[in-house]
Amino acid sequence: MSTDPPSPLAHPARRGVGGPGSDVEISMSADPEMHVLARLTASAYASRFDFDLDDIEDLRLAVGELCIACSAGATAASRLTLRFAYHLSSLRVECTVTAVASGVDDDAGNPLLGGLSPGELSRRILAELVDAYRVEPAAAGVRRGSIEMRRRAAGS
Amino acid sequence: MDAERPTLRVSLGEHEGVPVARASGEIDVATAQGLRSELAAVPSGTRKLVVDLSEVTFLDSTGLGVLVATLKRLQDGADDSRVALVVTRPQTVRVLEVTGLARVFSVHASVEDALAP
Repeated sequence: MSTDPPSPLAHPARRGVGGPGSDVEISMSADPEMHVLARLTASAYASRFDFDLDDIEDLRLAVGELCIACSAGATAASRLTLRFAYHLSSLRVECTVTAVASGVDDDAGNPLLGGLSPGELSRRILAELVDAYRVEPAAAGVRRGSIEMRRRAAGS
Repeated sequence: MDAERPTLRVSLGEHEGVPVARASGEIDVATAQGLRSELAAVPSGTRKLVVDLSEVTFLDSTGLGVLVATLKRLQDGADDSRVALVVTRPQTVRVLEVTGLARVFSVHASVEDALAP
């Protein structure tokens, strides 16, 4: 009895069904100029799992906001790492930024924004665009955050 | 990296005395300073500023912050100053709506509409 090698299309990362084999991790400088790479990766990753174009646009914006929020207090030495995972129709993005300065408060009302804080704008966007989000205070020079977005059923 | 680097172009002109800024590209945390610098040339107290965002393909909270700051600066000189945004891209409309800023700015589908009294 012959045993054919498993088809590469059987791999979860290729089937578009997710699972640990489809996780993606990227790491870069936390320089704002690099955030575009995070957004591009988010778009490409979501497209593998049949998110529709509106959801991909929402995810792209949400990942950008997550990077901004987690990068508060980032320094020239800071590294930004994103981990993308898809499982059971839910896409999760975890963000970690290292070497962040402590005591940076993006919630301080900015008079130039009419008292609105930059963090408040980010939170309003994240709250509307994704199903769950979290940005932790920096601890020991590291700030972590995450977002989750469920894929809508076709036609919903 | 150049292919991935977000680009933003902003120009400032005027139409019958109304300053009109036209932006194209991505307005994000890396490029928003370019928008801020260009809009800084509009004097405080200017009654109306039109910002054409119809060619903007990405707008995040940093860019929104620049627009809000510009409106506040203009209103420091004249309470009735307003900023009229020209927005055609659904995602840009969406980000203005979810932040509540669609009620702060006047939002129009064309520069002509934005210029109308």
